[in-house]
Amino acid sequence: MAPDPLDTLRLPIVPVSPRAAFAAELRRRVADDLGRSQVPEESEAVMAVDLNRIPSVTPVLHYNDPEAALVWLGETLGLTESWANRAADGTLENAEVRWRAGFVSINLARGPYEARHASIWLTVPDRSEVDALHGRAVAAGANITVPLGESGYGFYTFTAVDPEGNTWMVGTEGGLTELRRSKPGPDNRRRP
Amino acid sequence: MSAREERAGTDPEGVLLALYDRALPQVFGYLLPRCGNASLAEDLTADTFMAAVAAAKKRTIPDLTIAWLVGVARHKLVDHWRRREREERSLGAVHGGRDAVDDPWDEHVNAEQAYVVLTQLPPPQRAALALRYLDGLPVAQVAELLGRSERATETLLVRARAAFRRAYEESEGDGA
Repeated sequence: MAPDPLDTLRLPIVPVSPRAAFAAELRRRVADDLGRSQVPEESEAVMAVDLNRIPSVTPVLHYNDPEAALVWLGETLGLTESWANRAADGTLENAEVRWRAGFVSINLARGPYEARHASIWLTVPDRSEVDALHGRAVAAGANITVPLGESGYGFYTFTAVDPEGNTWMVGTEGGLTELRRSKPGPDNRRRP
Repeated sequence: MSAREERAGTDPEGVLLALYDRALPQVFGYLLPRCGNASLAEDLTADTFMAAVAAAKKRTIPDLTIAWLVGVARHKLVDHWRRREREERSLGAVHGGRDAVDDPWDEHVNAEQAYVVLTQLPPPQRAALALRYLDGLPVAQVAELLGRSERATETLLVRARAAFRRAYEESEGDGA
């Protein structure tokens, strides 16, 4: 029997990424419909957070409205609340939010603890995740001050500013780990 | 049982959301060449994931994997072709329905050209050929997806192959 010439049309699946805006919007629809609004954990190893250890470095931010900050951080960037301390009348005084294996402390500004502008860098392992988070931030209506793209230092990144003026930069690690491993010395300064 | 399988049993919603980033390019990649345009592929991709959400909430997914999602996408694609077929029939669209003789066909078929020709065929023929040849499904499974008997599907495939061959040869004539 003659071979069927149409058998050569066999088309295995080649993954194709759709438009970033479409991907982010669909992701939001799926998450909303499932009743989840946070970016989920990717794998146990990557997200291994030892809740018994205090991280070596924790940024401490003060807000006039920490409750609104929590909402913005959750919706825009997917930081999740891991701990909160509220006064008797329900006012949020302190909270801890989690991002991958790190934490940021969010607090009510009062007395000597003024709301001051800070900049925080959030690292993600690959560009597609930066794209997804960018789509999420755009969909959430965030103020994007540095558009999505490759920075002069080789980071693939974008920047969003929160309602009280703190700067949140999301990006890949851009070869930083390699740079750290190379011999230290004056010749190893990064050129802007 | 792996940690993922345990979670899938108790938390299919979480597994679906965790799978999303990896599954999306696979589902879209499956649909795009079969739809022939990105806008339709996006619509069917969205339909696929929203159907998966509904099934996750009802706990009716036996095995929540990327392969399962592609299967859902295939069903959505077939549904789309059936809708198109109904629309065309109600519009009185008539397609050349010469009875086909299944001659042996020696020719080497150029894949790129073939995919274009496929999009020009009427929906039921396009559906039958796509499922049988692009997806490589056995006739019995094609019949089940199309909601026809195996015999009716064999007949459809014979006509579809003949129509494809005519359209393909015509397209070669234009190009040469």
